[in-house]
Amino acid sequence: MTKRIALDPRTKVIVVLVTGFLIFGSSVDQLLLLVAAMAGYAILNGSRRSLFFYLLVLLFYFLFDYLASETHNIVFVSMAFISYFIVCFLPALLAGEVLARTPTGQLMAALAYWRVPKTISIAFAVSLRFIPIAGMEIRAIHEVMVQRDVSFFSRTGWTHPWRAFEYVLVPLMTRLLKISDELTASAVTRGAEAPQRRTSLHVIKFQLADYLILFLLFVLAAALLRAR
Amino acid sequence: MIELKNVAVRTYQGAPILSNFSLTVAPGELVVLSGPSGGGKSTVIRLINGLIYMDDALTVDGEAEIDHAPIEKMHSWDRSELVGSVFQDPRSQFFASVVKDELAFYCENFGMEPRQIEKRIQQAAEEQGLIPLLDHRIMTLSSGEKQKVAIASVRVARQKIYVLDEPSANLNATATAELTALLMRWKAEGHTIVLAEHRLHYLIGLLDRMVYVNDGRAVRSYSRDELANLSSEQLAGLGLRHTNLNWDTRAFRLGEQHGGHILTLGHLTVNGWGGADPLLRDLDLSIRSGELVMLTGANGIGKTSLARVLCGLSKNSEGMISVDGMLASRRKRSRLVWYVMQEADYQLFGESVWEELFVGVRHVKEMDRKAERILRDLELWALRDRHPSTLSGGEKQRVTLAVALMSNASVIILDEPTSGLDWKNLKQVAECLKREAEKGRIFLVITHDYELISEAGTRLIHLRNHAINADFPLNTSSGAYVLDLLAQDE
Repeated sequence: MTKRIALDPRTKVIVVLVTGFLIFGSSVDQLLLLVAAMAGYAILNGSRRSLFFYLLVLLFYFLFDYLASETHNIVFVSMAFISYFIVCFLPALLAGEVLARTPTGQLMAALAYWRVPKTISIAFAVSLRFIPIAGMEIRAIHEVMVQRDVSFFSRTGWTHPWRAFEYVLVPLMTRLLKISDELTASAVTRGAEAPQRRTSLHVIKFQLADYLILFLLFVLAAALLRAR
Repeated sequence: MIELKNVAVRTYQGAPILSNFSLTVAPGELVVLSGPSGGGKSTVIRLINGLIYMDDALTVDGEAEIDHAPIEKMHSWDRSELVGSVFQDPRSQFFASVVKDELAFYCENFGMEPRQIEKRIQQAAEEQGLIPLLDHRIMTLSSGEKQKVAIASVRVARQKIYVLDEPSANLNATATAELTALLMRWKAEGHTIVLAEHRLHYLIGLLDRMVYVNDGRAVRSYSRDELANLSSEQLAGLGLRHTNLNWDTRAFRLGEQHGGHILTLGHLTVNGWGGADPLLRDLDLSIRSGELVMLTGANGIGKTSLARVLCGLSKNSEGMISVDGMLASRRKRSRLVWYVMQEADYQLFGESVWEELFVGVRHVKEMDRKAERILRDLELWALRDRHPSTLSGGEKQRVTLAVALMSNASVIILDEPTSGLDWKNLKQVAECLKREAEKGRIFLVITHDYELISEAGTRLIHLRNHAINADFPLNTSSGAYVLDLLAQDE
């Protein structure tokens, strides 16, 4: 694991919310500044792996933007338009990734601190667990479909895409129903319905790094809003 | 003390699951519920931990009490303080991504202070030997370690009563031995323990009673001595697995056949994920038609990765693979080698068992006849109109085998086909494999189920340290050596 600065999960939530807000109404230059700031923030938090992909998106955008302004070809213009859309989301994606990589336990600690009801915080933990589980299940099912020659890329897949879709859906539903049953059983037999307010193993406390990040975020937000 | 008196459990439509079921478990007693699949063992477990009262589709009559307090009347959180529950599949029980957070889940729900939570975690982790793993991500652990995390995350509550539903289903020999040691310790500490389990061999030394559950009734209770004295025939008659791991010397062993198919690996290296070190290096071996090869080795050694390479699902390999003397490319192998995954639920797409065999296969007369023959051979003919998701675990397992037999593949690889099966289903799978192996296909079975190896294997390949550690034909005297190999795995 790469070394990262340890931020309070609340800081991460605030960064996501503020960045999401700043995206709207930004000019292209401001947007790029925001991307750069968030890239720095993501690197500091140790999520480097997908940075390459984001860089690629940026390059695509510059390339198509240049081609579009030179040629006015409709294909390049529409490509530039689409990639601009993706670039709009980049700052939020970067900030969101930092939040999503935080261990569930810490996120739940933040929710407990904010006195979020137990039903919501446990449902939140379950939904976070569900995304990777569903992804793994779909991959496994697709492998079986490849073997039986009914995957999306096989002849059946081309000629009867609905049937291929059904082949994914039927086992996926069976599996997810079973998993949700088992998760519920596991939660209930470990006191998930207890009336006490949830506490957390993690002590949540703002530290110097949190104040620093929030200060920088505030400066950035103020600068961007004034420039409008 | 757990007391169940004349309990009847019915589905909404009125089909009985338990009828007139009575069971008393004294404090400090260790009781094993065993019997054929679908007999009602899990329902008894769910009755004791109260989960059954949360299922709206079931009606429960009769008295179920713990220390004279009706289970039905308790709050779910009060039950969780009283009864600890360990389930079969640890994969789908976790809420946190890190081991420590998972152990904290119970304590956090009860609003404990961080210092107290830390203390409980330390104690439970120490009991399970999890201290070095506390900061690890759960995803990266082996199935044996996951099971320990699941047990520790219940154990932090320090209950007096523990119920376990097939805890050994996903465990290898070493992890099973550790489970035995743990149960022994719990018993010495005076905990009351109820297990539902098919595998009896690891419990025979510590159980106080075995209650034979069949057709929703507690048919008979056996003391440890009575159970140990049952002969193999008597156990098989009851549909129970062996109480001690003895090598079945009468099991039929196939001789090597000439002609037919041959699978050859030459200097095959199986690489790990994303450029990691190779899992297996320079494998050289050949397998002929009629052989039922059992492939074993510790968890994570690369058995499944090897299977995925052989059937062309994975590209992570170097070296030569040939079928019938012809070099087989990855694309070619996807037709020649069939891989039946461990989890049957992923593999069933059809609306009925009959249609399942025709997923990706055209309905022509010849194939219809073939399908009928396969279904009759696997004793699935009577179930041909049923929806696959309504079948039992053993039946689903046989349907996935039937699908494999419908293909023209010369090699069929099965991954853990008997985990969680009772004796009758295990025997049925073993018989199917033997019959089909005689017809000329090559079978490679990934397993650490000693009873399956004893019943069906003709040759055993054991992997260790990235290579083949042992490769020998199985005969009437191989039993002790096989057991020794399985026990060495970590």
